[in-house]
Amino acid sequence: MKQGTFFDDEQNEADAKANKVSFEEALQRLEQVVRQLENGELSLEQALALFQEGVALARTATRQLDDAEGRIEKLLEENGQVTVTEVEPK
Amino acid sequence: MDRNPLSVHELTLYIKRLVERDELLSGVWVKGELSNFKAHTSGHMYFTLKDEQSQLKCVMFRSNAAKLAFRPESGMQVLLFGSVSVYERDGAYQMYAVDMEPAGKGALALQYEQLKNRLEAEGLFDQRLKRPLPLMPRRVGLITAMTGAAIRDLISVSTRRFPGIRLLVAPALVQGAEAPASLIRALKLVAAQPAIDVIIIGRGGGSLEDLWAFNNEELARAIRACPVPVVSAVGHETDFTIADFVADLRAPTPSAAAELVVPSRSELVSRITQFQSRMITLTHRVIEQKRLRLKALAQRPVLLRPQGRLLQDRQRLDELVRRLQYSRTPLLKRNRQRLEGLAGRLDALSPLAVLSRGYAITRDAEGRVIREAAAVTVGEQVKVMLHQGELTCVVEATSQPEGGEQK
Repeated sequence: MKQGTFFDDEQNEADAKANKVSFEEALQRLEQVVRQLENGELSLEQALALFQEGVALARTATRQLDDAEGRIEKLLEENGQVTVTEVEPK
Repeated sequence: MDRNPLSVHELTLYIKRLVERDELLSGVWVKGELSNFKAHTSGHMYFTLKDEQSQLKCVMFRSNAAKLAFRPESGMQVLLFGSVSVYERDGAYQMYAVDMEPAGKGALALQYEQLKNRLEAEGLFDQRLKRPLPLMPRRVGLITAMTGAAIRDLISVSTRRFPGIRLLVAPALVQGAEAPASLIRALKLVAAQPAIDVIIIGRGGGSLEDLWAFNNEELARAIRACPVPVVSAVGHETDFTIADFVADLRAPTPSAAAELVVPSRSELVSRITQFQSRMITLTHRVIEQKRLRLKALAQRPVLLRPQGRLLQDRQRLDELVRRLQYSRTPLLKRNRQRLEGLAGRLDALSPLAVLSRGYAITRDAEGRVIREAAAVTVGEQVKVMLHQGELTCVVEATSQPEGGEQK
């Protein structure tokens, strides 16, 4: 999403904050943001701050989906030694 | 050969002693089907144990009967433990049973029922203990056999729903006497691995005996004690295993478990997209609301002609100030001003004021004002009154205006 020059610094800040949350937290918070925008008697500043946070959350959630690298591993125990090796899916 | 007959009773006692001396008959397991089962009001149980060829009369006294964990019925396959002796009155041998266990297929069902009731009473199946599954697990543990449809289904469904999913498979025996211990071991090992957010434990479908490992008490306790949520996936749509009851979530098959545990990537993407577009719409709405309000405010007259209003106010202010100052002028001063005004008007009327402009008044010796030259004679003294001072003059000549009126 192109954000242009609109509040770029603040957006970067919101992005940095959003990057620290898990996918699950990001999605839950995003839902909350939408609900707040739906219900609240918001000032313009509050609405824009929520919007920025939401954009950042959507970005980080999408990135986490994109970055996930599938892997199938197998756990083996031999003589008390546990090893995890990657297996090729059939 | 002397006939030395024994009484019936003597013979019976002899046989009884023979039987009771026998080691095997003093403590033996015997299996068969219950028939003619009667639970007497005294608490004793009378029944016959039979198979295709033979039958055996049995009794179980109240003290032992009361300890049974199940209720025996005719037709049930059971194992009996007890001793064989002779009932003297009937001259018949019978088994005095001290213990009875269900055998065969019925036995498993009964054991299952008993374990289920016990664990349920203990609270292991309490709904409040069920933990929610993570929305997007970082890593999913799979505990099942490495061969067979179960593992294949788990992997294919999981990767189809979310290609980026991380799976950790821990092979385990899923059938046979060693299966419970193998499953428990795998469960503990997987749960100890990093980033495991949920575990699926299961196998493909099978007979009640095949699935028996999942009705194990120790496995049930291990599942309940597992630090991450466990989904049971024992491939049998209709029957529940103990593992199903104790797991955080029961899936009817391994495929269904993968559906429940692994989120669909496309669903997640569309959820994010929906939130995003909803958010954009709502933010636009807030901005539009503010804009409309601003517009409404801007159209109020006070904002439309701010200067006009200001000037009006200024004028009004000046007026008020003036009135205020006036009202504060003392009455006396006002009256004096008024008086001075009146005096000025009086002055203007006074003849003396005319003198100041250069006119003069001439009077005779008696002080009469002389209005015409004929009123005086040559040589007569007159007084001329000026604005400042008076002159005493002697008339040297008189002249009459020509054609002037005679008075």
